[in-house]
Amino acid sequence: MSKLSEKKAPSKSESSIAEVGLMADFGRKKRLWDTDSLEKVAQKEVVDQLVEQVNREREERYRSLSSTFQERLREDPEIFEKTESAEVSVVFEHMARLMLLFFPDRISADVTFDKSVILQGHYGPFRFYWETFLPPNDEPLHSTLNVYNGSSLTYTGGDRAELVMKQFSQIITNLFEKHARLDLKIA
Amino acid sequence: MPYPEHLLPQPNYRLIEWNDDLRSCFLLRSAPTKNVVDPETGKVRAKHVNDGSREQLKDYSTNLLGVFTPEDAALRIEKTERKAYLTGHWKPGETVEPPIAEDFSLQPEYGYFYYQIGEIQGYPQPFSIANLPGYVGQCYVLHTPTRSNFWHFSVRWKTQDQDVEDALNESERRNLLGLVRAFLIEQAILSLPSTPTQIPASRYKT
Repeated sequence: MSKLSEKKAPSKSESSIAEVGLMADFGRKKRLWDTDSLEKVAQKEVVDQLVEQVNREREERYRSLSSTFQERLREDPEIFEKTESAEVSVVFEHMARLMLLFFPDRISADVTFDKSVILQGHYGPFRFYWETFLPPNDEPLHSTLNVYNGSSLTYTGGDRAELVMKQFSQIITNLFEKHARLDLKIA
Repeated sequence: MPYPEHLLPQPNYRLIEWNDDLRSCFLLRSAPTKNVVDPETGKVRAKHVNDGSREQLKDYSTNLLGVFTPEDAALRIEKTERKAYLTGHWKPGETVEPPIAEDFSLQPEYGYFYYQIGEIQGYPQPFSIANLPGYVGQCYVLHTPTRSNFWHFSVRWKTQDQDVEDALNESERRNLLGLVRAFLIEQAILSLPSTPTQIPASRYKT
């Protein structure tokens, strides 16, 4: 006789218990599956709402910042009299939207008599000064970036505008990740 | 109204040489408006920090607070024939012909902010310009009296013992310009210090 045939068949009661157990288990799993699914749906809705809220708030901040910037442009129109107003607006928009992506505590935009657009963003103890010069000719745009942490100048640099934009992204992303993790302390 | 006597250099005056006692003194920078603060940042508005790049880098005009008071910031030398003379550098021992009524005016609106000399002299201890090793720059403060204002001080930047205007190319100058503007915004003090230090008369009178 094989070992299998030697295996004792389960008794009726054992079978029943097993069957009930299996049924109960399946039932639990089925409930779990439903709950999990419900939770997923609820979470997705919550996340979608949060994303929508964040985007809405960010857009409101952008509109407010843009409005102030346009007022300041109009104060001294001679600053950019030889530059296309559309170009000034595009430069401002790119810089502003990128800064706003990282939820600055404070943000401000201004123009200077050196024919530049300057944005300041405060992120906790860090203060970013990002300035783009718009020469009245076909020269490439030049930007500078200066970062303060408390009272210390921790970064200073300048280059073509697109390179400085990348540099800003890199610096702020690193800071954002580092400080978000520390602040949230996710369990 | 006669031009304020306390602003005029006298023949027995001498240049205020650098000494560490100046570190506790304050410089006053005037602005064309009293609304100098950016409500978004709580700092001086970038536009009001300076009037143009060359002035900013080569000779940022300020006034030593003390004998010069905030009310003196309202005075402006008008564009008359004598303006070049009155805003020109004063030489020790020179007797000045003071401004007459037509030479100056009192601005109905003006503003100001301050810098503490000790916080800016030698800043930022020093820094590297244009990522060039050894190409080091520093801020320095210098007494540069004019014929109409003995208390005129200049904030300048130098590298390798040269003023930066002479040492840098245009791209490097723009980089420094960005640094200087951020620096001037960061270092600006908006409230009058309660007890600003006055240098003793022995520092400027023979």
